[in-house]
Amino acid sequence: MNRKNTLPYIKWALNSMHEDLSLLYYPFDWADIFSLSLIISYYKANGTTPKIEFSNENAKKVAVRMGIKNFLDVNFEDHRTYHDSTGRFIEFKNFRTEEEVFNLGGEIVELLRKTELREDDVRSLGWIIPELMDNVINHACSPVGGYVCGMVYKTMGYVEFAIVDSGIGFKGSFQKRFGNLSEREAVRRAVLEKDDAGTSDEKRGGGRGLPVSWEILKKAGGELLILTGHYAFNNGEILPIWDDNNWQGVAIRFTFPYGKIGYNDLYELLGTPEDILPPIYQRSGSIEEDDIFDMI
Amino acid sequence: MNSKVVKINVAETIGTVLTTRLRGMRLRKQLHTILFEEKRDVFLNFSGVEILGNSFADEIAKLIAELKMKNSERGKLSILIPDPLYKKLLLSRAVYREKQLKRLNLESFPLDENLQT
Repeated sequence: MNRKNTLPYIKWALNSMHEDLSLLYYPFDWADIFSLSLIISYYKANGTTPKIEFSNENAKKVAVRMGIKNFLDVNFEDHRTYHDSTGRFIEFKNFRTEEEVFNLGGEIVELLRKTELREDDVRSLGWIIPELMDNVINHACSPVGGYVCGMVYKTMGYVEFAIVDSGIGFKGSFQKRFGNLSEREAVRRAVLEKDDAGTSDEKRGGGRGLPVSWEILKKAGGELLILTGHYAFNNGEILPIWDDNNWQGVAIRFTFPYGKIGYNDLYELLGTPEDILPPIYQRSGSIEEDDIFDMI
Repeated sequence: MNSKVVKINVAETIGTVLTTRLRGMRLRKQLHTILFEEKRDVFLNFSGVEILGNSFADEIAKLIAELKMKNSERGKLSILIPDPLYKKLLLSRAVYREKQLKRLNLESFPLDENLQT
Protein backbone atom coordinates (compact mmCIF):
# COMPACT_ATOMS: atom_id res chain seq x y z
CA MET A 1 0.00 0.00 0.00
CA ASN A 2 1.41 3.34 -1.03
CA ARG A 3 0.96 5.53 2.05
CA LYS A 4 1.60 8.75 0.15
CA ASN A 5 -1.71 8.24 -1.62
CA THR A 6 -4.22 8.77 1.16
CA LEU A 7 -7.52 7.91 -0.50
CA PRO A 8 -6.72 4.33 -1.59
CA TYR A 9 -5.21 3.75 1.82
CA ILE A 10 -8.36 4.89 3.61
CA LYS A 11 -10.49 2.86 1.21
CA TRP A 12 -8.47 -0.20 2.02
CA ALA A 13 -8.77 0.44 5.76
CA LEU A 14 -12.54 0.90 5.53
CA ASN A 15 -12.99 -2.24 3.49
CA SER A 16 -11.21 -4.20 6.20
CA MET A 17 -13.63 -3.10 8.86
CA HIS A 18 -15.52 -6.30 9.37
CA GLU A 19 -12.45 -8.36 10.15
CA ASP A 20 -9.87 -8.35 12.88
CA LEU A 21 -7.20 -6.00 11.69
CA SER A 22 -3.53 -6.73 11.67
CA LEU A 23 -2.04 -3.58 10.26
CA LEU A 24 1.64 -3.32 9.54
CA TYR A 25 2.10 0.24 10.65
CA TYR A 26 5.53 1.41 9.66
CA PRO A 27 6.15 4.27 9.69
CA PHE A 28 3.12 5.38 11.67
CA ASP A 29 2.11 8.67 10.08
CA TRP A 30 -0.89 10.94 9.97
CA ALA A 31 -2.65 8.87 7.29
CA ASP A 32 -2.54 5.95 9.73
CA ILE A 33 -3.92 8.05 12.57
CA PHE A 34 -6.70 9.34 10.34
CA SER A 35 -7.65 5.88 9.13
CA LEU A 36 -7.55 4.51 12.67
CA SER A 37 -9.85 7.33 13.77
CA LEU A 38 -12.32 6.21 11.12
CA ILE A 39 -12.01 2.56 12.08
CA ILE A 40 -12.51 3.30 15.78
CA SER A 41 -15.53 5.51 15.06
CA TYR A 42 -17.15 2.91 12.79
CA TYR A 43 -16.51 -0.04 15.11
CA LYS A 44 -17.72 1.83 18.19
CA ALA A 45 -20.88 2.87 16.33
CA ASN A 46 -21.48 -0.83 15.74
CA GLY A 47 -20.95 -1.65 19.40
CA THR A 48 -17.51 -3.20 19.22
CA THR A 49 -13.92 -2.25 19.88
CA PRO A 50 -11.50 -2.65 16.98
CA LYS A 51 -8.86 -5.29 17.48
CA ILE A 52 -5.60 -4.00 16.06
CA GLU A 53 -2.20 -5.58 15.96
CA PHE A 54 0.76 -3.28 15.71
CA SER A 55 3.86 -4.95 14.41
CA ASN A 56 6.15 -2.01 14.94
CA GLU A 57 7.46 -0.45 18.16
CA ASN A 58 7.32 3.08 16.81
CA ALA A 59 3.67 2.67 15.88
CA LYS A 60 2.92 1.36 19.36
CA LYS A 61 4.62 4.37 20.94
CA VAL A 62 2.66 6.84 18.84
CA ALA A 63 -0.60 4.98 19.48
CA VAL A 64 0.06 5.23 23.20
CA ARG A 65 1.18 8.83 23.15
CA MET A 66 -1.76 9.90 20.98
CA GLY A 67 -4.15 8.20 23.40
CA ILE A 68 -5.48 6.02 20.56
CA LYS A 69 -4.52 2.83 22.39
CA ASN A 70 -7.25 3.50 24.96
CA PHE A 71 -9.89 3.09 22.23
CA LEU A 72 -8.51 -0.16 20.79
CA ASP A 73 -8.33 -3.81 21.71
CA VAL A 74 -4.57 -4.23 21.50
CA ASN A 75 -2.16 -6.80 22.84
CA PHE A 76 0.66 -4.73 24.25
CA GLU A 77 1.19 -2.97 27.55
CA ASP A 78 1.97 0.66 28.03
CA HIS A 79 5.33 1.13 29.76
CA ARG A 80 5.77 4.71 28.69
CA THR A 81 6.46 7.47 31.19
CA TYR A 82 3.97 10.25 30.59
CA HIS A 83 5.08 13.87 30.60
CA ASP A 84 2.86 16.89 30.92
CA SER A 85 0.44 17.76 28.16
CA THR A 86 2.74 20.21 26.40
CA GLY A 87 4.31 19.28 23.12
CA ARG A 88 3.11 18.22 19.75
CA PHE A 89 0.26 15.85 20.51
CA ILE A 90 -3.40 16.78 20.79
CA GLU A 91 -4.53 13.45 22.16
CA PHE A 92 -7.33 11.37 20.65
CA LYS A 93 -10.58 12.24 22.42
CA ASN A 94 -14.22 11.30 22.12
CA PHE A 95 -16.92 13.97 22.45
CA ARG A 96 -20.66 13.33 22.68
CA THR A 97 -22.21 16.52 24.01
CA GLU A 98 -21.98 20.24 23.39
CA GLU A 99 -20.65 20.58 26.92
CA GLU A 100 -17.75 18.32 25.99
CA VAL A 101 -17.15 20.25 22.77
CA PHE A 102 -17.09 23.50 24.74
CA ASN A 103 -14.60 22.18 27.29
CA LEU A 104 -12.48 20.35 24.74
CA GLY A 105 -12.35 23.43 22.50
CA GLY A 106 -10.94 25.42 25.41
CA GLU A 107 -8.42 22.68 26.23
CA ILE A 108 -7.21 22.46 22.62
CA VAL A 109 -6.70 26.22 22.45
CA GLU A 110 -4.64 26.04 25.67
CA LEU A 111 -2.55 23.17 24.30
CA LEU A 112 -1.93 25.04 21.04
CA ARG A 113 -0.81 28.10 23.02
CA LYS A 114 1.76 25.93 24.80
CA THR A 115 3.24 24.97 21.45
CA GLU A 116 4.09 28.65 20.97
CA LEU A 117 2.07 29.14 17.81
CA ARG A 118 1.40 32.74 16.85
CA GLU A 119 -1.79 34.25 18.23
CA ASP A 120 -3.43 34.45 14.80
CA ASP A 121 -2.71 30.75 14.23
CA VAL A 122 -4.23 29.83 17.58
CA ARG A 123 -7.17 32.10 16.81
CA SER A 124 -7.70 30.42 13.42
CA LEU A 125 -7.48 26.90 14.80
CA GLY A 126 -9.51 27.85 17.86
CA TRP A 127 -12.23 28.98 15.49
CA ILE A 128 -12.09 26.04 13.06
CA ILE A 129 -11.81 23.04 15.39
CA PRO A 130 -14.76 23.73 17.74
CA GLU A 131 -16.92 24.66 14.73
CA LEU A 132 -16.25 21.27 13.14
CA MET A 133 -16.84 19.47 16.43
CA ASP A 134 -20.05 21.43 17.00
CA ASN A 135 -21.28 20.32 13.57
CA VAL A 136 -20.95 16.70 14.71
CA ILE A 137 -23.18 17.34 17.70
CA ASN A 138 -25.75 19.47 15.87
CA HIS A 139 -26.00 17.71 12.53
CA ALA A 140 -24.40 14.26 12.43
CA CYS A 141 -26.75 12.20 14.66
CA SER A 142 -23.70 10.04 15.36
CA PRO A 143 -24.43 7.31 17.93
CA VAL A 144 -20.88 7.58 19.30
CA GLY A 145 -20.47 11.33 18.98
CA GLY A 146 -17.21 12.36 17.39
CA TYR A 147 -13.48 11.87 17.75
CA VAL A 148 -10.78 14.51 17.48
CA CYS A 149 -7.00 14.46 17.55
CA GLY A 150 -4.17 16.58 16.27
CA MET A 151 -0.46 16.91 15.95
CA VAL A 152 1.85 19.93 15.75
CA TYR A 153 4.82 19.45 13.43
CA LYS A 154 6.99 22.26 14.73
CA THR A 155 10.03 21.81 12.51
CA MET A 156 7.94 21.33 9.39
CA GLY A 157 5.71 24.28 10.22
CA TYR A 158 2.22 22.85 10.15
CA VAL A 159 -0.55 21.34 12.23
CA GLU A 160 -2.67 18.29 11.33
CA PHE A 161 -6.12 17.58 12.72
CA ALA A 162 -8.68 14.82 12.31
CA ILE A 163 -12.35 15.08 13.30
CA VAL A 164 -14.45 11.99 12.62
CA ASP A 165 -18.00 10.81 13.24
CA SER A 166 -20.17 7.85 12.21
CA GLY A 167 -23.42 9.70 11.75
CA ILE A 168 -25.74 10.25 8.81
CA GLY A 169 -23.34 12.28 6.67
CA PHE A 170 -23.97 15.55 4.85
CA LYS A 171 -26.60 13.97 2.64
CA GLY A 172 -28.55 12.53 5.58
CA SER A 173 -28.41 15.81 7.48
CA PHE A 174 -29.59 17.91 4.53
CA GLN A 175 -32.29 15.40 3.60
CA LYS A 176 -33.82 15.65 7.06
CA ARG A 177 -34.27 19.36 6.63
CA PHE A 178 -34.48 20.12 2.95
CA GLY A 179 -35.61 16.96 1.16
CA ASN A 180 -33.90 14.76 -1.34
CA LEU A 181 -30.65 15.76 -2.96
CA SER A 182 -27.70 13.88 -4.40
CA GLU A 183 -24.69 12.99 -2.30
CA ARG A 184 -22.40 15.11 -4.46
CA GLU A 185 -24.73 18.10 -4.13
CA ALA A 186 -24.83 17.61 -0.35
CA VAL A 187 -21.03 17.71 -0.19
CA ARG A 188 -20.91 20.79 -2.41
CA ARG A 189 -23.45 22.65 -0.30
CA ALA A 190 -21.87 21.65 3.01
CA VAL A 191 -18.35 22.74 2.11
CA LEU A 192 -18.68 25.42 -0.53
CA GLU A 193 -21.91 27.33 0.14
CA LYS A 194 -22.59 29.61 3.04
CA ASP A 195 -25.97 29.69 4.69
CA ASP A 196 -27.33 32.58 2.66
CA ALA A 197 -27.58 29.98 -0.11
CA GLY A 198 -30.21 28.16 1.92
CA THR A 199 -28.43 25.56 4.05
CA SER A 200 -29.29 27.24 7.35
CA ASP A 201 -32.55 26.96 9.23
CA GLU A 202 -34.08 29.10 11.92
CA LYS A 203 -33.45 26.59 14.70
CA ARG A 204 -29.80 25.82 14.19
CA GLY A 205 -27.12 27.17 11.95
CA GLY A 206 -25.85 24.70 9.50
CA GLY A 207 -24.20 26.57 6.74
CA ARG A 208 -21.26 28.63 7.72
CA GLY A 209 -18.73 26.89 9.95
CA LEU A 210 -17.35 24.45 7.39
CA PRO A 211 -17.24 26.77 4.34
CA VAL A 212 -15.48 29.50 6.33
CA SER A 213 -13.09 26.91 7.81
CA TRP A 214 -12.20 25.84 4.26
CA GLU A 215 -11.63 29.48 3.28
CA ILE A 216 -9.32 30.01 6.26
CA LEU A 217 -7.39 26.84 5.42
CA LYS A 218 -7.08 27.88 1.77
CA LYS A 219 -5.85 31.34 2.74
CA ALA A 220 -3.24 29.74 5.00
CA GLY A 221 -2.12 27.39 2.22
CA GLY A 222 -3.56 24.40 4.04
CA GLU A 223 -5.27 21.26 2.79
CA LEU A 224 -8.68 19.77 3.49
CA LEU A 225 -9.81 16.20 2.92
CA ILE A 226 -13.37 15.19 3.80
CA LEU A 227 -14.72 11.69 3.37
CA THR A 228 -18.47 11.17 3.61
CA GLY A 229 -20.67 8.43 2.23
CA HIS A 230 -19.40 7.58 -1.23
CA TYR A 231 -17.64 10.90 -1.87
CA ALA A 232 -14.54 12.81 -0.94
CA PHE A 233 -13.88 16.52 -0.93
CA ASN A 234 -10.20 16.89 -1.64
CA ASN A 235 -8.93 20.49 -1.68
CA GLY A 236 -11.84 21.84 -3.68
CA GLU A 237 -12.55 18.76 -5.82
CA ILE A 238 -15.52 16.50 -5.14
CA LEU A 239 -14.73 12.95 -6.18
CA PRO A 240 -16.61 9.64 -6.03
CA ILE A 241 -14.38 7.23 -4.12
CA TRP A 242 -16.38 4.18 -3.06
CA ASP A 243 -19.24 2.15 -4.46
CA ASP A 244 -19.96 -0.26 -1.68
CA ASN A 245 -19.18 1.10 1.78
CA ASN A 246 -21.73 1.12 4.58
CA TRP A 247 -20.13 3.96 6.47
CA GLN A 248 -22.07 7.22 6.06
CA GLY A 249 -20.33 9.50 8.53
CA VAL A 250 -18.05 12.47 8.00
CA ALA A 251 -14.27 12.23 8.40
CA ILE A 252 -12.32 15.46 8.16
CA ARG A 253 -8.58 15.72 7.91
CA PHE A 254 -6.92 19.11 7.55
CA THR A 255 -3.44 20.56 7.41
CA PHE A 256 -2.82 24.10 8.63
CA PRO A 257 0.58 25.65 7.89
CA TYR A 258 1.30 28.13 10.63
CA GLY A 259 2.63 31.66 10.30
CA LYS A 260 0.75 32.14 7.03
CA ILE A 261 -2.45 33.87 8.07
CA GLY A 262 -2.84 37.22 9.76
CA TYR A 263 -5.48 39.21 11.58
CA ASN A 264 -6.46 41.10 8.43
CA ASP A 265 -7.03 37.83 6.57
CA LEU A 266 -9.34 36.59 9.31
CA TYR A 267 -11.11 39.94 9.37
CA GLU A 268 -11.80 39.55 5.67
CA LEU A 269 -13.04 35.96 6.01
CA LEU A 270 -15.16 36.12 9.17
CA GLY A 271 -18.26 38.03 8.21
CA THR A 272 -19.99 39.05 5.05
CA PRO A 273 -19.57 42.28 3.09
CA GLU A 274 -22.83 43.44 4.69
CA ASP A 275 -20.85 45.01 7.47
CA ILE A 276 -23.32 47.62 8.60
CA LEU A 277 -23.57 48.65 12.21
CA PRO A 278 -27.19 48.15 13.24
CA PRO A 279 -28.54 50.99 15.41
CA ILE A 280 -29.20 48.49 18.20
CA TYR A 281 -25.45 48.23 18.53
CA GLN A 282 -24.82 51.82 19.47
CA ARG A 283 -23.86 52.23 23.08
CA SER A 284 -26.87 52.87 25.27
CA GLY A 285 -27.06 56.23 26.99
CA SER A 286 -27.97 54.42 30.18
CA ILE A 287 -24.49 52.99 30.58
CA GLU A 288 -22.02 55.20 32.41
CA GLU A 289 -18.60 55.46 30.80
CA ASP A 290 -16.92 54.38 34.06
CA ASP A 291 -18.95 51.19 34.11
CA ILE A 292 -17.79 49.98 30.74
CA PHE A 293 -14.71 48.15 31.98
CA ASP A 294 -15.92 47.55 35.50
CA MET A 295 -18.21 44.60 35.15
CA ILE A 296 -19.57 42.30 37.83
CA MET B 1 -39.92 48.53 35.42
CA ASN B 2 -36.63 47.83 37.16
CA SER B 3 -34.29 50.33 35.55
CA LYS B 4 -31.07 48.89 36.87
CA VAL B 5 -28.82 47.70 34.04
CA VAL B 6 -27.81 44.05 34.17
CA LYS B 7 -24.10 43.86 33.37
CA ILE B 8 -22.72 40.58 32.11
CA ASN B 9 -19.02 40.00 31.58
CA VAL B 10 -19.09 37.06 29.19
CA ALA B 11 -15.44 36.05 29.62
CA GLU B 12 -15.83 35.82 33.39
CA THR B 13 -19.21 34.16 33.49
CA ILE B 14 -18.94 31.76 30.53
CA GLY B 15 -15.33 31.59 29.35
CA THR B 16 -12.73 33.13 27.09
CA VAL B 17 -13.14 30.53 24.32
CA LEU B 18 -16.79 30.84 23.32
CA THR B 19 -17.89 27.95 21.18
CA THR B 20 -20.96 25.76 20.58
CA ARG B 21 -24.50 26.67 19.70
CA LEU B 22 -25.94 25.35 22.94
CA ARG B 23 -23.85 27.69 25.09
CA GLY B 24 -24.85 30.62 22.91
CA MET B 25 -28.48 29.56 23.09
CA ARG B 26 -28.36 29.34 26.88
CA LEU B 27 -27.07 32.90 27.04
CA ARG B 28 -29.76 34.02 24.58
CA LYS B 29 -32.40 32.33 26.73
CA GLN B 30 -31.10 34.09 29.84
CA LEU B 31 -31.09 37.43 28.02
CA HIS B 32 -34.62 36.81 26.74
CA THR B 33 -35.86 36.58 30.31
CA ILE B 34 -34.10 39.77 31.38
CA LEU B 35 -34.99 41.82 28.31
CA PHE B 36 -38.50 40.62 27.49
CA GLU B 37 -39.95 39.45 30.80
CA GLU B 38 -38.15 41.58 33.39
CA LYS B 39 -37.85 44.42 30.86
CA ARG B 40 -34.46 45.41 32.17
CA ASP B 41 -31.54 46.79 30.15
CA VAL B 42 -28.50 44.58 29.59
CA PHE B 43 -24.88 45.49 29.02
CA LEU B 44 -23.09 42.52 27.50
CA ASN B 45 -19.32 42.84 27.72
CA PHE B 46 -17.11 40.63 25.54
CA SER B 47 -13.83 42.12 26.84
CA GLY B 48 -11.30 39.35 27.43
CA VAL B 49 -12.93 36.91 25.00
CA GLU B 50 -10.16 35.22 23.02
CA ILE B 51 -12.19 33.13 20.58
CA LEU B 52 -15.75 33.83 19.48
CA GLY B 53 -17.01 30.90 17.44
CA ASN B 54 -19.54 31.15 14.65
CA SER B 55 -22.23 29.05 16.37
CA PHE B 56 -22.05 30.98 19.64
CA ALA B 57 -22.02 34.33 17.84
CA ASP B 58 -24.96 33.25 15.70
CA GLU B 59 -27.15 32.75 18.76
CA ILE B 60 -26.39 36.28 20.01
CA ALA B 61 -26.99 37.53 16.47
CA LYS B 62 -30.44 35.92 16.62
CA LEU B 63 -31.16 37.93 19.76
CA ILE B 64 -30.11 41.17 18.07
CA ALA B 65 -32.38 40.36 15.14
CA GLU B 66 -35.26 39.53 17.50
CA LEU B 67 -34.81 42.84 19.30
CA LYS B 68 -34.98 44.71 16.04
CA MET B 69 -38.21 42.92 15.13
CA LYS B 70 -40.02 43.32 18.45
CA ASN B 71 -41.71 46.63 19.04
CA SER B 72 -43.27 45.73 22.39
CA GLU B 73 -41.97 47.21 25.62
CA ARG B 74 -38.70 45.58 26.50
CA GLY B 75 -35.24 46.26 27.88
CA LYS B 76 -32.42 47.57 25.72
CA LEU B 77 -29.27 45.68 24.86
CA SER B 78 -25.82 47.22 24.61
CA ILE B 79 -22.84 45.16 23.60
CA LEU B 80 -19.14 45.87 23.91
CA ILE B 81 -16.83 43.80 21.71
CA PRO B 82 -13.35 45.32 21.70
CA ASP B 83 -12.07 42.97 18.98
CA PRO B 84 -13.15 44.30 15.55
CA LEU B 85 -12.89 40.82 14.06
CA TYR B 86 -15.55 39.38 16.33
CA LYS B 87 -17.64 42.53 16.15
CA LYS B 88 -17.78 42.10 12.39
CA LEU B 89 -18.64 38.41 12.75
CA LEU B 90 -21.51 39.15 15.12
CA LEU B 91 -22.88 42.01 13.04
CA SER B 92 -22.76 40.00 9.85
CA ARG B 93 -24.70 37.22 11.49
CA ALA B 94 -27.21 39.71 12.93
CA VAL B 95 -27.86 41.22 9.50
CA TYR B 96 -28.37 37.74 8.06
CA ARG B 97 -30.67 36.62 10.88
CA GLU B 98 -32.74 39.79 10.67
CA LYS B 99 -33.32 39.18 6.96
CA GLN B 100 -34.27 35.59 7.75
CA LEU B 101 -36.85 36.64 10.34
CA LYS B 102 -38.38 39.06 7.85
CA ARG B 103 -38.41 36.44 5.11
CA LEU B 104 -40.08 33.89 7.39
CA ASN B 105 -42.43 36.52 8.82
CA LEU B 106 -41.40 35.62 12.37
CA GLU B 107 -40.63 37.69 15.46
CA SER B 108 -38.28 35.24 17.11
CA PHE B 109 -36.24 32.07 16.70
CA PRO B 110 -36.92 28.82 18.60
CA LEU B 111 -35.23 28.43 21.98
CA ASP B 112 -35.18 24.65 22.01
CA GLU B 113 -32.05 23.17 23.53
CA ASN B 114 -32.71 19.86 21.87
CA LEU B 115 -30.90 20.72 18.68
CA GLN B 116 -30.77 17.30 17.10
CA THR B 117 -33.93 16.47 15.22
